[in-house]
Amino acid sequence: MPVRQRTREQIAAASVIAVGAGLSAIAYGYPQGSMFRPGPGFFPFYIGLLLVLLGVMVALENRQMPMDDSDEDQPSGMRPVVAISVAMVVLALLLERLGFVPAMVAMFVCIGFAERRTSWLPLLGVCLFMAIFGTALFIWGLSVPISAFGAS
Amino acid sequence: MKTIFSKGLVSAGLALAIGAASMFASPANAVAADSYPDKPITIVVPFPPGGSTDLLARKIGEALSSSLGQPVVVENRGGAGGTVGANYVAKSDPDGYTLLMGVTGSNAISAALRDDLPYSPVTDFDPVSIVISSPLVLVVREDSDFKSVQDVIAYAKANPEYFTHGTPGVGTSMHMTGELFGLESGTKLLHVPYKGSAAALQDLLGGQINAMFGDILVTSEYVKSGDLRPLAVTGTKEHFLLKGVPTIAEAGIDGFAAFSWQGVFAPAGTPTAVLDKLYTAVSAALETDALKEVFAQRGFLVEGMNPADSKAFIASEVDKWTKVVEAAGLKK
Amino acid sequence: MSEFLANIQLGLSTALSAEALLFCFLGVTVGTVVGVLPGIGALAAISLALPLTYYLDPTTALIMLAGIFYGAQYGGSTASILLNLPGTATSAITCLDGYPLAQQGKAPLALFVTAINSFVGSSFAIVLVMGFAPLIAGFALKFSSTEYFSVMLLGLVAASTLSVGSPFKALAMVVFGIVLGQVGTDVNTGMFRFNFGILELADGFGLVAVAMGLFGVAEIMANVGQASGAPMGVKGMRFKDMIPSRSEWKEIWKPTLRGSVIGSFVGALPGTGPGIASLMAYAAEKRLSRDPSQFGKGSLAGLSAPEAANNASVQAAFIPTLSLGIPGDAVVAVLMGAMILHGITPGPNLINDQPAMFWGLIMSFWIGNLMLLFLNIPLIGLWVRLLSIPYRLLYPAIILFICIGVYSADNNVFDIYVVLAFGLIGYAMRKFSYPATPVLLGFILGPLLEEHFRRAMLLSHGDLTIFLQRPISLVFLLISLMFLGSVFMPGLRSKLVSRVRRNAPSDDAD
Repeated sequence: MPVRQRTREQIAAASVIAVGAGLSAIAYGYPQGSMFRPGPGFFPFYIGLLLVLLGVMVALENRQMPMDDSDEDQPSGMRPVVAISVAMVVLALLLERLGFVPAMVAMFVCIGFAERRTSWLPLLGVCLFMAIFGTALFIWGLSVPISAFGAS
Repeated sequence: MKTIFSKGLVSAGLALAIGAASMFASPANAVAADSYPDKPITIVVPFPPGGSTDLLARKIGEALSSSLGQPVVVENRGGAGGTVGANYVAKSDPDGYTLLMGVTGSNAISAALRDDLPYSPVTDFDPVSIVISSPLVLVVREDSDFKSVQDVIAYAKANPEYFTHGTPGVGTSMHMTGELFGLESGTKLLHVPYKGSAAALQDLLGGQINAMFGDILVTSEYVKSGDLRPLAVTGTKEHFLLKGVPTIAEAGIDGFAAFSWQGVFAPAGTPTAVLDKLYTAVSAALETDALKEVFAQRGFLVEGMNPADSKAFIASEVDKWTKVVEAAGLKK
Repeated sequence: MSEFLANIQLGLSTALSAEALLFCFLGVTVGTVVGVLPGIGALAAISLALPLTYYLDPTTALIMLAGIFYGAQYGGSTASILLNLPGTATSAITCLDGYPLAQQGKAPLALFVTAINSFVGSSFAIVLVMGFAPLIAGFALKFSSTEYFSVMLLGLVAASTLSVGSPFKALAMVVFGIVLGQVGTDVNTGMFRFNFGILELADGFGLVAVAMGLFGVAEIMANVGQASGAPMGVKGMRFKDMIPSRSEWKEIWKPTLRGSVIGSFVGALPGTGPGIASLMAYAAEKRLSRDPSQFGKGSLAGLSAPEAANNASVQAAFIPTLSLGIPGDAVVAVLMGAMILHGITPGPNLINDQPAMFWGLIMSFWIGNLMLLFLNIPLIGLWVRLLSIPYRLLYPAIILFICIGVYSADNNVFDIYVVLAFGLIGYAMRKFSYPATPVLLGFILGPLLEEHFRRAMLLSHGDLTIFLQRPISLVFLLISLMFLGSVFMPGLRSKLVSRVRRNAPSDDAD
């Protein structure tokens, strides 16, 4: 659904406000302490309020800003974002279970879907290179406690 | 080795982990102790490399590796005052291949202090041995008016919450020792927590705080240089790095004793034969020159308790600090 | 004086031994490499290398570990300038002007200037360490939490002024950074805050994970799928493209010197670190500049000052360590741990007890920095060539480096999820032009601000006026106020003026 730029800017400002309000709300449940002994909730409570205030200022500022109100065409869309996110999750899930090389191969496969047209052959080359170079650097060089193959 | 499953992950993952753990755990238990160890052993240090726990673990690891005939790998899993690493070992297979170098904070005080600790130092571990202990020392600046423990008590009695002592953080043995001091002397000191002992030491040297219950080795350097004055050690007898300094008990608080300690722990359920084998190897390691040198240099006192004594000791420590935490109103 | 010369000679004889030279070279090389690689910082590299040094002579071990530390500062700028991939707060500030320079095709020049400035900054601070270490350390001890609070406040104010665009968005992002810094264990009570029951969050978010997410992953997510593919080109790569012209030298030298001074001062204060040094130097330069609008668009002054400052601060961090036994920052703390492992307890007697080690280490700093200069200038060509690799082949490798890098900090996959989460946040921020650098600085300074505030309150029994009573603190507060005034007053005024202007002809915005 096309959304106007100003609306999207205001949604962003609203999320800033929401983060601030959320922090203050949780912090309110923590002990506030006294001036002598400010509690764990004291500082974050006011920081949250400050963020709310600044979010409001940004929102007000957005109203003054000249904006391009035409529907922005989305050139890349969410495809790379989703593919990269999935790739990182896959790596995290497999790293300690299957080992460095299988995990990174799975990651590269997911990354291959980030673009509509992927030239798989060069990507395979990078993948092979990283399998060898990465094993040498991380496992042998920096002794990160993972195995190249197999659970660590 | 499996990943750490903390409380925060989805319960499905947790169930999976428990299932997997029990699947792997049963054959491991069945392994006869006389074939142990037939693969490398990991000692988890719940702190980043470079600290005294790391050093001790590596030196013990070297000795164990030559006596047991298998490589011993030290793995640093730091975080949350040692509780992340301790939790990792508590949830590992009880087969004697994953051990913890536990300390006062991770394996006693944290249980006294926190309700939200995802493991129990008493029921989730089978101690192999409490290896060393180390008293602390009450130090003030050289130009301070406090010349003795009695001076401190008198001032703190007259001015509650005005005698400041710095610690490396809440729940450290330095903090707990300060609380114990307050309880047993009937005074109220002002606890000033820092992030790490260096920052506390900086403020002590700069005159921002009155005193510290400090690490013997580090503070003895400043005693030598004439920057700090030791008032008393917290152990039960004179310490070899601080000759002539009385204990707090001698200086006026009868029966006062507090010290930090370090030990080797296995996950609960480790076969007794494996524990015994490890204990024999650890106590032999304590007799080696390499370890003796570390003890002398770091100011450690050798304990080398056996598994049964260690287990009783942990229970008594948790009990002792729970009482202090409750009396001082520190429970989380 | 003769004693001073004798000390230098003693140091040189230690530092110039074949073994020391070898390990110094090894250290600075490893440092450069881990600095260049995204996701692996000096702290991780030193922690990983530390166990290997258990078998070395202590002085040699320290020379190597220190080499990794300051070598990483040289290398860290490379990835930031070329790929906008800062792993630390210092390199995030280097990115502000370094990356725009690279986008203009001036990557070789930017890297060369960085190498030279790093050398000048380091050299300046080493002279201070040699001549005045005990004196400066004594001054640093006068800083209590009250003074630190005011310094941190100045840092936060400075952080909100350094990016281009809306000052409110920048300020909001500083505060957002402070919010992120709230996650973790409360220093004063030991309570776990905002960790949602996850034990891994008890120490808060890792700095590297936050930085790599907000900058690296976010940058990649935004770039992939763009029509151009490769984000930039390089105009030329001949030697003369690296060398600044006469007018460029003129632009550089004053900021470099000022950066060195600021960096040395901040670095000597324990518990501050190079991030704050770069930040202060950048902010000061922007204030002093006749044309502050150039900052953030590829200003050489904006690149030089923080580069000099961060290297100066890294060397100056050894002042409190070597003369008091108090580590200047987290990395030096690990180095100090290494000394203790080797049976040397750092304390006020170190310089007198271990003159060979102290002076050997200092002299090795010179040698190491010279090595770095000669190592890095030829490498510029190699690094820049990286940019000619098609981006679609480069970025999967970068993501892998980032993931394994953050994993290696605590050997915990949890950090990979953290870096992904911050990547998504950073991507969203970028879409709405919220600057990321202030987040990082707020994240670093916020917890320090709170810690020192609460400790100052504890020690003064709740007396808020303590911040005004202590002269050093008062001075810093006044500077902060001046900063805030000078940033927001003209901004507000020009905005009012422009609004009047816009409103005059026709109001078509709303």
